[in-house]
Amino acid sequence: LALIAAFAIFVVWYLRACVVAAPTTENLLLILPVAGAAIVLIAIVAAGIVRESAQSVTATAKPWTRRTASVIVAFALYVIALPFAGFDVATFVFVAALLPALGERRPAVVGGLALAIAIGLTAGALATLSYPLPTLFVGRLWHLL
Amino acid sequence: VIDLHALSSAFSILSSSGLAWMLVVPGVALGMIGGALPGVNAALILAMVLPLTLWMPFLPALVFLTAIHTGSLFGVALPAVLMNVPGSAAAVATAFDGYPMSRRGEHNRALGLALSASALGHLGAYLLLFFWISPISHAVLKLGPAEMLLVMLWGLTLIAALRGSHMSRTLLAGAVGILIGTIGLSPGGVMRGTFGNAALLDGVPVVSALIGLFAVGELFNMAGAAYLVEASGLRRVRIGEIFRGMLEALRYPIVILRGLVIGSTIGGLPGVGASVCNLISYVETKRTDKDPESFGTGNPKGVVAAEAGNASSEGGSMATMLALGIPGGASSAVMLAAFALHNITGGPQFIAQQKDVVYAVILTNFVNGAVLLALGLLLTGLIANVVRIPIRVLIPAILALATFGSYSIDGSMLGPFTMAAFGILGWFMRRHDYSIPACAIGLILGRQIEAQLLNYYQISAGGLGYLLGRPIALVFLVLLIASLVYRPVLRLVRPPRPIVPAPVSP
Repeated sequence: LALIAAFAIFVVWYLRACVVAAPTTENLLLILPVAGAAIVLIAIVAAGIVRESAQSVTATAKPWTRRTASVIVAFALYVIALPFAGFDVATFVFVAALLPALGERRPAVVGGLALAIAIGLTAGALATLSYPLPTLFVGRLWHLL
Repeated sequence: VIDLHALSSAFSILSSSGLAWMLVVPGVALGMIGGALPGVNAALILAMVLPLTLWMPFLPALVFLTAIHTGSLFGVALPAVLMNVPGSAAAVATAFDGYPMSRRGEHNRALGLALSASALGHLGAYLLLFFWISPISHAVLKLGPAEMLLVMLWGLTLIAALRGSHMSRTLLAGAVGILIGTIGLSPGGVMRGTFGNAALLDGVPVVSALIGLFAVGELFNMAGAAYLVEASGLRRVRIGEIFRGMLEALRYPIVILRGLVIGSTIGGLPGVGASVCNLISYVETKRTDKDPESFGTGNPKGVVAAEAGNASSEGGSMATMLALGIPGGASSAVMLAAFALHNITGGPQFIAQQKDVVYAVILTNFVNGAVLLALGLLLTGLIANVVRIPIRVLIPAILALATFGSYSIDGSMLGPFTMAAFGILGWFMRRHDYSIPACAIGLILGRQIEAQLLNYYQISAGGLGYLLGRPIALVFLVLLIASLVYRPVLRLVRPPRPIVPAPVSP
């Protein structure tokens, strides 16, 4: 029900935002019927979920694993850290933290792969991008070279 | 039937576009390698390389993406034959007879059969497209805003109707996708849902959102998947035996033709991807065969049927995407995002005004098919080893690559943030059986649907009289209503089946 609740919150918030922005026919021509249909569908899906749980039918959701949770959390932290830690350091830490969580036990492989992926991707991006790339070390080395 | 002027223009475009030709071989090879990785489907690979296409002109970008798609549809057969683990859902039926052949020591023969059928299915589907594209381009020009609006909505509802389960969840995914797709500056100049953030004025970054939905969400899913065991006991691949298998496939022209017809017609329907064509072609071949019991025990016709069906679906989905601007499934949704990256809107105007580009894409796809045959023969042994790359290495590497890719689109952190948010959304949606392609198609088409609706509203002054005077629009309206009601009606007519406990496997 958490996902369906999130959908409901988004639909109601967005509909309200659109009405507040401009309550005109042109602005709401698509938004209003689609949001209305979405709310009806949310009610149907929610009723189905409640009915299934009342009848003790097996839930449709696939099992949540600790491994999946660790990947999602690590990835979210990685993306949040990018502007502060730079793409090079954040990528190194992300890969080095995730490999053991996914079952890689050899420290040399973890360190080597994390370094190779972080330096390889950062150098590749520095060589090809026309935008500045936030980095802590590789960017400076790149410009020195 | 063929527009010779556009065709000659296509030849001159291609003769001056060295980059397009240069991208065919790496594209097919990349598709084969990516497809061979269990769990990695064509949409994931295409989403990953989408930021790269930003740096290419439109034609080479489209050629590169179609080459990857062609390669991936054969690549998925490799682990299906060698390990009984289909590279993606598009090769499920390939494993039915491919793996039993492999267990008998005939894996090279099975790979050869799959390669030939895949290449011939691909070539045949694009040959049909080559002859049909000109008449199609004239026909679709007759579609006005009312027809286009109804076609887009029908496409979304058809995905829900054909999905088999959880129709309301699929429709909801499409509706949420449409709403997200309209975030930003409206056609009337109103800022909607942007939190006052100027970066969102152009809307949610579609490419980053697609990388999140298709690639990141799938990788989160793979992290918890138990079936992704490390490859062990891979069999030795021999080119000579593969070649003999390739020749053997030619002994089954009817099977290939059936797969081609199924793939290029059913594959053109929105929501029907290579996986459905793969299964239908297999089932139809088994049903019409004199010896249906031999299927599932290593019948070469099973491999040929399955591969011809999935490979030819690409031509069908391309026809829908080019003619109507509606993605047939996940892969063509990503390809349509490449159109958006180059500020090109697919659909009737595109196909009519840029028929030379369309012919150029078709012509390069003939080359893709030939390259697939050559690379499949030469590289299968090498690519079979790719299956050995542990998934624990792939997940962090691809996630990091996706992050760099989403940043590279416009050099803003909005890309990685959007990708991460949609990755989490995509993973939740997969867990609870919501359709990712429906959400993605809604997201891509949201603005176009709104523009068509506004257009219709202005032309018709809000009345239904205009619609009633357009017979094609009425046909689409009937199809739209039929796709919405046929399953609930079927449920009412047919009594529910009694629940039988599933047999417990030893």
